[in-house]
Amino acid sequence: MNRWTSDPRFLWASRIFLGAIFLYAGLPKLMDLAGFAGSIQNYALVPEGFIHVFAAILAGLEVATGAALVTGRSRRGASLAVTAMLLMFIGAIFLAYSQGRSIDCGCFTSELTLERSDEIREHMRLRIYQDLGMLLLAVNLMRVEWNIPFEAGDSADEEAS
Amino acid sequence: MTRNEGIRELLWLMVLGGVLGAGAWFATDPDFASALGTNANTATVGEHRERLAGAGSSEAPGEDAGSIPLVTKVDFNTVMTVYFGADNAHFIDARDAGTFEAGHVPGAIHLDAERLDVDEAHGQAKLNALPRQHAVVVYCSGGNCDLSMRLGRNLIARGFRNVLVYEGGWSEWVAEGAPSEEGAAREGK
Repeated sequence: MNRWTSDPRFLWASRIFLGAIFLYAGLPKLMDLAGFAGSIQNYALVPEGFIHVFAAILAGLEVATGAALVTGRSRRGASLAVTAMLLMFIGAIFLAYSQGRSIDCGCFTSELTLERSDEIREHMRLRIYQDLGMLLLAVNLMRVEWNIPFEAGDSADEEAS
Repeated sequence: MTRNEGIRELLWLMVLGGVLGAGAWFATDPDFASALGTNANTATVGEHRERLAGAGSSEAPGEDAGSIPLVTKVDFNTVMTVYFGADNAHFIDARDAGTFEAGHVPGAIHLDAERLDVDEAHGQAKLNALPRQHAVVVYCSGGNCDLSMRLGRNLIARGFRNVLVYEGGWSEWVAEGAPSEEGAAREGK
């Protein structure tokens, strides 16, 4: 099979892109865990007593996954981790957005927002679209790394090849 | 076999992430282990009283929970029995000026959270008048209102260590029949 989504150059570009994004998003969070913990508290999804621990682990995992994607190490684990994290981010932002809330998503920076409520909600919507786009790339990476057939004919193709 | 390798890689990444996170936490707060499992948001009324009693000293309350402060959420009962009327506790109304003037907690300071977000100087004089070690109770309309949480985080960033958000907000305050006053914003109580 020679589908462009399985082209090694496309997969390499996807890994570098996703890895760079996760490093860019994760490093500032590691350097400002207090701000990131505040962002997580905004969502009201994590028990209060675990917010610090969750913030530290999530920021660390973002950086570790980003580094793994960029360097091409632990590809299977990294593709699964990036997919799971993106699903979690999309779900959390969508839940807050659907509740009519306007919160700093804490996606790329833990800095305090400088926007009004309507602008924050607009940004939340944009983040969901951006994360969905990245999720497509991540799922494609995972499909290739885990040898998951894309459609019925794929498994037969792989067996034949 | 491939799946097992993938799971192992994922676990390895999680361990590496945990180590990175713990390292960053330790760099932020060398005493970070003391914050593990602490939960200011389940503090009893008695524990809130103890914190407030410590608010008059130079040592900031809440620092026992680690030096990474979070906003503490409080319910009506705690607000009413511990913080309302206390000398070292201040109420801040995060709603806009119109709703504040229509009715607010007696003695509350008005700080429009949306203005504070776009205008750093807004309310600076009011905030400067508040000792950073005092308790600050922030509220907005209640329900899905996020203004109090946003303002609470802003206050933590400005150096306040004991920031409490009364999530029930003005709607619950009125429903409970608690005292209120009307009129324009004052400089503080």
